[in-house]
Amino acid sequence: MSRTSVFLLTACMALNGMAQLLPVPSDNSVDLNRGWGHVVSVQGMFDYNANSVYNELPLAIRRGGYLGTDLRERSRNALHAGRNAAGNIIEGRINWTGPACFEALPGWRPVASIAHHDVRATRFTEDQYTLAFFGNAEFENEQAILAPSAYEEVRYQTIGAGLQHAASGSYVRLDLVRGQAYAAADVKWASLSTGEDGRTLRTTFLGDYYASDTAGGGFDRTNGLGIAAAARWNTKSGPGEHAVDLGLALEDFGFVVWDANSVRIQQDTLFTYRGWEVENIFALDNVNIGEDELLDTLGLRYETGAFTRLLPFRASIDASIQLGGSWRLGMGVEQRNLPGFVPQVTMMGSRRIGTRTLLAATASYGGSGALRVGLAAKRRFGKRVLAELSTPHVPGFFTGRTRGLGLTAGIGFAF
Amino acid sequence: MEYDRPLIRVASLGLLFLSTLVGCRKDPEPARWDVDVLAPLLITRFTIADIIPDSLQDVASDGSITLVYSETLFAVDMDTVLEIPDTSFVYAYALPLPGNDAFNLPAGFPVISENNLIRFDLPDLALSKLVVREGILDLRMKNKMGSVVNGSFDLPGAIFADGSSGLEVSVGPGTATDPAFSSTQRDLAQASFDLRGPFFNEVNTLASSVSAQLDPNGSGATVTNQDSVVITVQYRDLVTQYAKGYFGSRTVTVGPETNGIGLFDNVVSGTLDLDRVRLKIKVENGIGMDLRIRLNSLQAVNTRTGVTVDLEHAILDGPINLNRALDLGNGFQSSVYENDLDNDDSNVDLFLENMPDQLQYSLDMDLNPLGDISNGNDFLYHDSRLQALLELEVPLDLIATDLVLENIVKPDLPGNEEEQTIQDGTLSLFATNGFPFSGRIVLDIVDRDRNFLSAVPVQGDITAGILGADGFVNASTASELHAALTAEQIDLLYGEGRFRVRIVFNTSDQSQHLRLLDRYAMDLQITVGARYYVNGDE
Repeated sequence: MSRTSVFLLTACMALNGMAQLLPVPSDNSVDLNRGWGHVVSVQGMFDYNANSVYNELPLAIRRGGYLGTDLRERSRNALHAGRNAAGNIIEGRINWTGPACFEALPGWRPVASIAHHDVRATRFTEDQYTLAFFGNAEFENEQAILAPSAYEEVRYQTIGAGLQHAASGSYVRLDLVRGQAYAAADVKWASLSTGEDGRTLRTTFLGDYYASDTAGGGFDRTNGLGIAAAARWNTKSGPGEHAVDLGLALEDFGFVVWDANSVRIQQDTLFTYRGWEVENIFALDNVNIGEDELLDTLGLRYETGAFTRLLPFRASIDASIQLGGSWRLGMGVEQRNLPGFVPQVTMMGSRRIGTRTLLAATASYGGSGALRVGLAAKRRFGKRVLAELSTPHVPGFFTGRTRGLGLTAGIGFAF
Repeated sequence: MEYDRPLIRVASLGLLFLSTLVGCRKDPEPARWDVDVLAPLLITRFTIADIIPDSLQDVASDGSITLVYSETLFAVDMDTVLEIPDTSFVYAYALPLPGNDAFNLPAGFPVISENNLIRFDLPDLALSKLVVREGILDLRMKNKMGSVVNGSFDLPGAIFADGSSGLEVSVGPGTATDPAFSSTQRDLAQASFDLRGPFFNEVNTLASSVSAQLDPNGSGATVTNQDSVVITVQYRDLVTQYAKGYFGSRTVTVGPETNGIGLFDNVVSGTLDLDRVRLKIKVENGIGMDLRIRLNSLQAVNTRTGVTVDLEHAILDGPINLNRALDLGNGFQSSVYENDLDNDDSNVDLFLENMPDQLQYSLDMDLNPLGDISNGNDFLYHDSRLQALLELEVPLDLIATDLVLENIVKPDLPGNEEEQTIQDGTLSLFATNGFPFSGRIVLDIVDRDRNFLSAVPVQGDITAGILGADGFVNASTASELHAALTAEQIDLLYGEGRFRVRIVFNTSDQSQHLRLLDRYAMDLQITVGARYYVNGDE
């Protein structure tokens, strides 16, 4: 999928609170009337985050062309000696909520959902960045530390059905998962030592790499199957107006069995390279340094076979309280099953304006990034249409010298 | 108005938002950036075997190396002495009837019945026996008579591989205007011919019997003077397995001819002073006849320098008499002539120090110089040949002065001409030299036709190993050479350019010959420090 189409997909799909860390709080006067029989919503999210590399670098990579030394240097100066992380999530979902129709479960409405997920995340070291963007020359007579580091990229689609409690919004859903593509590297230890004048390259490596069928990972491919569950439990705690709204949520908690054409490399090796060994200096034209020879030398031949991996599930807990009038304050903590992701804490303050608009401001810290400041808004158009728009990091739209950029949008239609 | 067309308003906002994200942007080019790479390229150990294959080395117990090189100077194959041309014989029958007369021939009427002697046209040769290795006997019949004709061809003096000595063919009825044709073939491999004729007193002669008769089971034929039967016999593509007889007395001139010699292919210029050279000229006569050879000239030609050195030795003054080979019945034993040449009795050292890439020679060869002294018992087998071998023995005890070895290398650079991933860089060579000679590297970039394009300055030389009092290297030396490549030179290498690497060798003591030992070696490592463009520089 091209970058443009990814962007189009992201932009075309509106977002919904289910996919957000901290949903824009419900408000009886702004939200769609719960009395509508059917609600169809289209949701989409793009969220990029990093805790060290400035946005200007991935944006420049996306734009293409030459990446200047200053540009790369600025992000290098911002790297942490310990954990450096980055990740992006692209999700789109179509959701249907039907009228309550279960005699045994009055107050529960059927829900059905189709979603696409494209998730990437990485954890890397300062030296890895230097090696990738500046080369190994400056490590002459030194050792570049390349671990611990990890990378995961997974694309999958889900289709599922469940129940949603009409009054509280709590829901439970079971999804069938179609695995499209997967690649993950987990490097527990790795280093590269460059000898004086480049006469020796010595690497140590302990890690593994798993990937789905290398024949292709396009939208037309099904390289794995699995199941997943999603649930959210909303409740209130405390008396009356000042009751605290609590929510616990789990999304995409499941697994995919990637098929037998999947590949893996597991390495625990130390390799010293002093140059390609040539039999005769006068017969260099006969030296064949092809891909096969290189793979054999480095021991990078794949093994094939099925494997099972957990999805990049998301677990969260959130709480909000009405402060009086139209103000509300919330807080949430989220964790995702992704490399480099640490618990992300989000604070949110919101205010209803009039009867159809709600504005919110967020501040979050953690995840794949650092401190982010965002805005969110939802507005009802007429009685049947509710639109939401939010970004987790407003500065990302105005400067490249910040970290994180995202947009969520969604629209719901009731009938 | 509060609820007027809400969907349109939302859609408009959405489109406005989309336009800010994607606009009318074209597909982006890939991101590019440069990294400084420092890495070893290749490692190798240079030994004498890299320029002289092990198969050409004779290593003594003390480790000294002698170059042993063998080259065929000339080889005269059997076809120079004996070549049997394709030969055809025609047998025809027609009734000598006047005008429109017709004549009835009964069934079984013999239209041809002849005993003939086939004489092969073999000038200068008088063969009494011939065994064929390969060859075909074609028998073709043309019939204008109105009856089937059965023909047979018999060679009483021949024995085919299956033990028979003839073949038969039948041709259908034909007419004067529409003759019938038929043919048959016999593989003559391993056929033996007695060429002495029916009374064993002739040469090159083969008795034959040809007959043709109307089909005895037919109804005969009415023939006119237009009707005929023609039998054509052809021997073709004959290759001799064995021949015996008298091969004649004549002189064959060979050359001037030129043979390539690959011993100094990598040497471009410079001088080589060899202490000792021994050249054995070995002539083998596999033919059963006496030969006398006069070697008119033997020259070492160096086409690179244009210098030609004539070999000077008594062998060029007088003839070489070669006895006939010995016939063992199922093979032969060659007679051998050998003559050793060295520095003392010839200029063979200068001959070789010319570092020839060609050997040029001319000679005259007298066959049976004393006439038919074998009384018709000359012989040859298919594998019989006269050949002269040069066997060279050169102890690697030498003085090399600016001896230049050249190699052309087209580097396999990452990327391509349009998307070059290397912009500039430095090649470094690290050498640990255990040879008693120093090396200076001249690095140029040349085009496909070896035309000079650019010079790459090389800083540093390879120093010679340290000589002990015994004239042998007793310690290696380490050297470091660097060659900086500019962006323009990298451009050339991405195009048609290639490296021309010339190594200029000088033995460390120019006043005495230094002996090369098989333990001598030079460890080489080439590293590169380069600016590498990820995804190319364009």
